[in-house]
Amino acid sequence: MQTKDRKPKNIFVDGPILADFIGESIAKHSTNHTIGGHSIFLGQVRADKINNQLVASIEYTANQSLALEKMHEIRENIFEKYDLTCLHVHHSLGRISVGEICLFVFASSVHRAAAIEACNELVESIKKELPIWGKEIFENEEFQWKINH
Amino acid sequence: MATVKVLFFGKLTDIAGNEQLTIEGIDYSNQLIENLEFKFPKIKNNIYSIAVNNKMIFNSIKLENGDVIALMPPFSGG
Repeated sequence: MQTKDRKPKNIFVDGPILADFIGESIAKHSTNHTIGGHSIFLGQVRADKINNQLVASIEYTANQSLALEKMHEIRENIFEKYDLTCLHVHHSLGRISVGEICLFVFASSVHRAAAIEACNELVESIKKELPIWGKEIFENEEFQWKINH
Repeated sequence: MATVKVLFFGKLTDIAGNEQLTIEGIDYSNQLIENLEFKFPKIKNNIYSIAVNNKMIFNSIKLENGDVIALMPPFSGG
C-alpha cells in the first residue's frame, strides 16, 4: 500500500515561511497532471492587543523529535481518510514578526473536496496535537505564552 | 537508580530557568516529578503532559539510565 512507504519528513523551517518558497512549492506541482485542486492554509502572526500591548512577534519552539513522529502519524491517518495526491506541511521555529507566515499547509487532490477537507482537518490537528509552543513577545519585549483556542 | 535527562518546554522553561537538566538517583517517573516539583515549586501550578523517550505516559513507570523525560505544557503551535 502506498501509504506505508512514506517516511517522517522534517516540517520545521528556521524563521518565517517566505512568499517565494510558497510560490515555488505551487510551481513544483505543475508537472503532476492528475491534480485538479490544491488547498492551502497560511498562518500569519497577528498583532493581538493584550492589556494595551501589541504583539510584535511570536517565538516558536518545539519538541522536534516528538513533533515529527506525531506529524508522521497524523499524515498517515489523513492519507487513509482522504484521497490525496500529496500533502506538505511547514512550520516556523524561532522569532516570527507580525505579518509573517509561520504555518504553511498544502494539500492536493484529483477533485477539490478531498484537498479542502484534509487541509482543514490537518490545521486543526497541528494546533492541537503537535508539541510546539508560541511565546508572544510584545513591543516592549515583555512576553506571554500563547494559548490555542 | 537511574540517571535521566529532563527536557522542559514552553512556560516550564521559564520556571526551571533552563531547557534541560540531568537528574541522578531516580527509580520511577513519579519520583522524578516529586523531585522536580520540590526543586521548582511553581511547576505545580501548571498543567503538563509527560513523555518518556517520546512516548506519552499517564501513570508512573520505571526509569532506566539515559531515559529522556519531556515535560510539556498545552501546545500552542500554528
